[in-house]
Amino acid sequence: MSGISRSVEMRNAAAESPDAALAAAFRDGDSAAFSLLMHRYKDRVYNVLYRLLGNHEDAQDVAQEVFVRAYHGLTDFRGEARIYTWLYSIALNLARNRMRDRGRKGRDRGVSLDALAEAAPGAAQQAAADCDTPRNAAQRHELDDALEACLGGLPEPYRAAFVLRVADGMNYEEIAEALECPKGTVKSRLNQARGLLRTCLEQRGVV
Amino acid sequence: MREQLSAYLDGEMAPEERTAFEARLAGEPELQRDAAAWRRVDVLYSGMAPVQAPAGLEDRVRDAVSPGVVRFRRRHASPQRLWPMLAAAAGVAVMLGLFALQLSTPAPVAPGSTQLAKHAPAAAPKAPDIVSEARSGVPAQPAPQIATPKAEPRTEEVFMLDMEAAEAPISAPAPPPAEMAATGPLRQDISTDAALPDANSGIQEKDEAKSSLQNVSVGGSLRIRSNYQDFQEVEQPAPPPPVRMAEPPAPAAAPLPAVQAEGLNAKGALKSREEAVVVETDVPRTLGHGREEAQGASMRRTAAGREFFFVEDVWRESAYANEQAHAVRRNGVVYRLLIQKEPRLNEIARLGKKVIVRIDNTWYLITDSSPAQE
Repeated sequence: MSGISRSVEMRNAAAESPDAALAAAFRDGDSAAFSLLMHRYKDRVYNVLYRLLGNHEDAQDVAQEVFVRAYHGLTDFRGEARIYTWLYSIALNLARNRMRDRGRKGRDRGVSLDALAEAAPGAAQQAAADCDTPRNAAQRHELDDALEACLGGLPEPYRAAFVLRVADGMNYEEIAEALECPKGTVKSRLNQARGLLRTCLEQRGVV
Repeated sequence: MREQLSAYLDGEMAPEERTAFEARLAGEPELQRDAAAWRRVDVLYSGMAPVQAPAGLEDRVRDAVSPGVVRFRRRHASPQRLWPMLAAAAGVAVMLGLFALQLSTPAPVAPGSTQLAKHAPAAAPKAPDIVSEARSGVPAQPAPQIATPKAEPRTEEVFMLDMEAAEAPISAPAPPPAEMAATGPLRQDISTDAALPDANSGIQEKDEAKSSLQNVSVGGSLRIRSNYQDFQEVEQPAPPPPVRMAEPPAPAAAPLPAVQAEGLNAKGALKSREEAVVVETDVPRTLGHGREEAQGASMRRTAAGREFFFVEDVWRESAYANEQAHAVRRNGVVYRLLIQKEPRLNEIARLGKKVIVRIDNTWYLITDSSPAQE
């Protein structure tokens, strides 16, 4: 069976059980229940981490740590929040720590195709295929660079709220759970984020 | 007004609140420009292709959380592990002998050391007799460990040691029947004229007896039968080698004899003493396409059209080669999900307490226990 069809079947199987049932199954001894949860959320968590951290290397490290911590913490999870917002809160805290470390080390958040190829060969091939002409490639790179640079320039709390809303599609209540803050704070942070992004992108001639 | 703009764009306003906001928005061109610019920002960022987690992420997480992920590895009684023990035992024996000579008095006999080196080649060990144990219901005492300087420590072969434990009564005082003598120790029929309790207890005791029988090497098969008359029907003409002490390990590339388990009920217990062939096993040198992982299988069974070997208390599907296996609690949520993919999973799971089975190219360990216990 191909990896793709297997992946689809896994997704279908996972879709039949709600998160809470899988968490309960995990507490009862089914380690495979955790695998299903991880399979369900790994791409979303990874995408958010990539948008927050700006490179695959950090996103990969932090994503792995997120699920390791979730594995060890899931037995104590009592359902005060939804499992995926709980996963995101772990991810955001770890990403915050990583950004802090990175800030101390003075690393920038540039993304090279070489690094992309190393971390995610399929994505690199897709990116290479998308760059059908040098001009398109240059424009695409220019736009992506501008978007990433502006996003990376946001203060971390604003960036997290914006990524969860726009890149992941969470509503305010879910964002508030993940960020562990009131909904009013989420609204305020999103206002700030959009205002700053608009200014930044206008300065770069994007909007 | 502007502080409400995000909530408006994100659809997070109540209907009446939204209506009021739109009324004010219509009269404020600057706010309209802001709303349009913010929409463009959202479109740009939401248009970025989502990145997917790298393929190896799940495996790395599983590796990092090892308690819930089971990798079955064969335990090897490697020479590196055995030699120090043998050397220590021999050293103790020499010290005791020297001490006895010095005192010119009868040396005190240390349990477990009297047969060391000097007598080991001549005296077969008294092994736990799982058959007589099965008859009496009293667990056999493990035999003292025997070590000889000439004995070559060998890679553990679980099944062979099981066989040795079972065949050890060959050297018991009671003479074997004529049929057995004709076929030699490789094939031994054992009368089951007494009540036979659950054979699982015997299997457990066999495992315990492994360590005490590491220098006994026996090839061949074991048959437990209800009476000696049945023996004639299954006798094979192969000339049996005798039981030898400290035999070097057989080459791993030896031919693969068939392994069968018959006459057992679902729990592996003997069905009844009236039934004919009860247990038949042959010594496998290697099993499962020559993989090392399959060495030591003591039984083979078929369930749901799949072939399984019993190794180290686990029924493993024949293709299993030490891959990761995810622990799944029997009748749990995930187990029920797996049944949707393998409708005959119950039939497979009934093989035993632990069963490794492949479903959709993923290995699962069906078990009653939690991951932490694995």
